[in-house]
Amino acid sequence: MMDKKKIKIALVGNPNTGKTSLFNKLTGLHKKVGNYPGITVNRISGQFNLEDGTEIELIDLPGTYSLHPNSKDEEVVLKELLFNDEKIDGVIVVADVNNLKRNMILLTEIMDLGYPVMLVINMCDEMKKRGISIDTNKLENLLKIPVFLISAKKAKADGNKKGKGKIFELKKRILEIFHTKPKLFFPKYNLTSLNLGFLNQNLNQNLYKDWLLFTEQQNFKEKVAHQNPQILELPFDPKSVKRLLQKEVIKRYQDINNILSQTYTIDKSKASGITERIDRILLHRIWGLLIFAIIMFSVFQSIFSLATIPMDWIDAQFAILNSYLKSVLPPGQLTGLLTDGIIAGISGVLIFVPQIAILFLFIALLEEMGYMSRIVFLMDKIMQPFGLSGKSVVPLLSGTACAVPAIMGARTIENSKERLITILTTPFMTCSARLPVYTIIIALIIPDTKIFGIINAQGLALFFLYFLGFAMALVSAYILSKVIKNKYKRYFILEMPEYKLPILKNIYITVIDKLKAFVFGAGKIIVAFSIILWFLATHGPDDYGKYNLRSKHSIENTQSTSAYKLEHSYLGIMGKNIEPAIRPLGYDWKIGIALLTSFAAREVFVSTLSTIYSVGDQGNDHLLKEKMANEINLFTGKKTFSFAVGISLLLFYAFAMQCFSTLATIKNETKTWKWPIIVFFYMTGIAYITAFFAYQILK
Amino acid sequence: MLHLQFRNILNKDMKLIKLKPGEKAIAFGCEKNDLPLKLMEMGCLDGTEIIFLKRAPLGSPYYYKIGDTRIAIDKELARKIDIKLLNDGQEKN
Repeated sequence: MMDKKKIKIALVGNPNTGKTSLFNKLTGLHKKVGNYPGITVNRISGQFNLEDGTEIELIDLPGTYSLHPNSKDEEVVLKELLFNDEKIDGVIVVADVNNLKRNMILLTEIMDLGYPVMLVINMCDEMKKRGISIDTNKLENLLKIPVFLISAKKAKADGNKKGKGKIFELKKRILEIFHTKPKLFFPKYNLTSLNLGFLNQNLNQNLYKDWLLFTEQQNFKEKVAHQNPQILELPFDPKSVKRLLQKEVIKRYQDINNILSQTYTIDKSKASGITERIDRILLHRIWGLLIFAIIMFSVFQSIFSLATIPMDWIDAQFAILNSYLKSVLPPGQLTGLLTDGIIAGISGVLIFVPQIAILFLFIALLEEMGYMSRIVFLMDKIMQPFGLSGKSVVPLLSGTACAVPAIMGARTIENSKERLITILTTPFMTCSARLPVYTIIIALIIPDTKIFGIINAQGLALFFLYFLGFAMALVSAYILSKVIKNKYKRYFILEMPEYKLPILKNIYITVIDKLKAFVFGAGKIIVAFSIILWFLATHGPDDYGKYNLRSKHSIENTQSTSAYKLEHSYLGIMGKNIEPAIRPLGYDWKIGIALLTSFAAREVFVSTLSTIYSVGDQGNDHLLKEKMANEINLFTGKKTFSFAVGISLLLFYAFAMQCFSTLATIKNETKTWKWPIIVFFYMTGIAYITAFFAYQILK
Repeated sequence: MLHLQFRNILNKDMKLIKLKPGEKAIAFGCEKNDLPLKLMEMGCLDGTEIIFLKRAPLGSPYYYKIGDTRIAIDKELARKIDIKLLNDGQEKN
């Protein structure tokens, strides 16, 4: 192993041990984010070199309490350590000094698997304060592995260059793990008491490995068969296996207690109890909920209104750039492609950056400080019946600003089923792009009167639409939670970590990572969509060009020219062709075109109608409203925007999936086109059906 | 430490869910009650001290200090765990 110049090391540990801090310090910013096939878990790896030139690939595995998984995310650890063909050479187990005993359960399991291991005890800056002392040498001797104390939070990452500092020391000692032979903890009677003693003789090298294969065979049948088919032939009784697993845990705790009693002392009188005291306020049934509401309101406010300042700025810069390019470049196809296709697409990607940055600033901050677990604690009662996590509150609420950052925000949910359901239902929340559509249609069909003298009828209608989106999100979540299978029983067991001051560097890294993931992941798809949409809206079959040529000279009527152009473009033709399908909803082809252009962003509905009705696309809402109010549907001979059509349109916009940025983000988060396609048909189907019944009943 | 605690055991067996805020108890019968492995891995074993910290504002889950770990669990689990109440009236350590 030592002659190998490239070594693969996994970073493993319980949740909340500062594992990711250590990972960031060891690898700097050189990280690679991949994904595990079939699940929405990121595979994060990074590289660094040792002094002797050895290249270390460090893999940051999800936090877990043991090798026996309770979720898809925890499965990843077992898969990497037990089933991966590209074997991991060694493991660094990160432990929290405040909870060493519990952290060592995982350590002993990994030692039993036969991996060269190093124990890194983190958060050691707190030892003095808490009256903890550790006899590191003795611990090393008893475990027969290197033990390293560190405070990843305080360690300087650039120590490597200067040749000093804790990170540098740690790197220096990493190769030590290959010289040691870890102590074993696995109780052999686990095998003999099940009459599996013959595993001992028959099968391969590592007893604990066989035991793990045996105990996890129900979840990983194929993988176990691949590694050791004989194991599947053994009798398997889940009850007695669980009993033995429990006994194993007890035995491990006994051994660990035995070791720690010789090496670890803690002065209990120094226990601060500060986390419990903060919890008394933050989880208080009045103050706790109030503070939670204030925090959520700030998150919402920030992405709903604060973010519009940079967003408008970005929008303006791109508009300036585009009009400049149009003025200097010769008019034609290429200029159109560059400005209205590519640059508009890039602007459409970057416009999301402020909202994503702000949302993840909040999420990372709350996560770092330990408040996220409290959100789960506070909200689980409400969300759990719908198959959602308490943490789903954050994405759902953010979804009322924009589904794109909100869906990305679902990443903080550990359980992959709950995360998937949150991703799939968030698009139902009323995002701000729906507002211009709602506003103009409500103004057309709902009178501006007061109900009971106080409640504004239009305001009430708007509120009802928000409620409708939220209700549909919950109903869909409920349905999905019944449809999507989960092989793990849902127990609610949640560690409530200590409150901590946030590490700004970690927050910065989180925000940058998410932005990169969006811009280079979903962003590419959004630009591609944007170019396609541009092409469809500006090109048409043969006779399209003739009008173009002719119209060059009729300057006096540019507005109706653009209306004509849109009407005869491919998109316009598509809008006309879908008319039979949308006629039962009360729409004509003009609305059909607007429905299609809404894919760029829902608010484009308004500007498209402005174009079609030749009002000019620079937001003259008053004129547009007048035009819409007087428009006659040629097919029915009635007003196009009657009450029935208005309600039908509102329902359609409330439920339909019309936003390709959202679809691209879902693809990026779930790593498959399957889910965005399902979301598209599910949401649009519901929209069609509700709009259909609304129109047919009301007309 | 542990020895001292055992002296203070009230001869009263009950389920964890019956504990009142601030009360201490020790867990027993964890294997017999078929607790999820995860809870045991997190340190909920026979003889582990448990303090009830709080109930969530909306009624569930329940928040305990189990051994060295602060854990929130749902009602169903709290109903499963057997405890012996500790008399912690005067003696604070």
